[in-house]
Amino acid sequence: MNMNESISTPTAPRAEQAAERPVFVPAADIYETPSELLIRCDMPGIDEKDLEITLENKQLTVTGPQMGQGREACETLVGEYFTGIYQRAFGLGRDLDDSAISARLKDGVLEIKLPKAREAQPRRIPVEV
Amino acid sequence: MTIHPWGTFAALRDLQREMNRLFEGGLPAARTARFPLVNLLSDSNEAIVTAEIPGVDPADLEISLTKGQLTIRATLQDNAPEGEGVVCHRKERSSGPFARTFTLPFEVEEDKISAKYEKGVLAITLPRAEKSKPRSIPVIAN
Repeated sequence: MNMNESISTPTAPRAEQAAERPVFVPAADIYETPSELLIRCDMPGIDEKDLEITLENKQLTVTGPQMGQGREACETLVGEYFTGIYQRAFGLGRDLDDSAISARLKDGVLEIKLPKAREAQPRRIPVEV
Repeated sequence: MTIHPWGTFAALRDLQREMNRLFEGGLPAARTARFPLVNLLSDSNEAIVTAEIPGVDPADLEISLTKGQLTIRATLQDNAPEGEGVVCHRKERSSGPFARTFTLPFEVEEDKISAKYEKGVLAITLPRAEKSKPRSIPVIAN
């Protein structure tokens, strides 16, 4: 499978830039095994119910607003990081089985499994001696 | 620059994508030499240190306090799939051991420190020592 065709470099949609909270592009790992693609994104501080994964026009978009720190009455003495909205889009190839995509969020890491369509999986062709 | 198996045009296309990403993308998630980044919030009773540390085993998180210095130590698991025919197309997430130490701005009740790791965010609650709590000083007008 030609990966250049199936996964394009992600871009963050422009529209979200107008949002009040900052939009972050989560760091991602992308692996390919003979049967599936595996995407992992670092998305700490997001609740499963707030995470949105959409597939449209062969584009997989993940959006997750981080939970607030819930401590508005506190004074910030050290502020090294901001919370905001994690968002990233991935372009998918034709040879993935769109209907069997699964996702899991654990310890702030989102894992998406995208099985390849049967015809895109490598087949071993036996050589007769 | 990597040598491109799909030829010059593919390499150019990739470069173009990277440039597009630089100019129109959102903010890259924070990646600095300091890890993890922390926020320290406080009111007059307690302080809370939060840090985004996605993908660690909570049992592996080690938090210690020595002479007013708080240390957070753990290992980010890689968990890369293994086996024949596994290809890595993109590797942006960090892995490996890390440690960070910083000085707390006030004395805390060392026995009453608690820590919680939830959804990739570590929150350490540090009750302030009685003598370090802010006092209000009454003003007497005659």
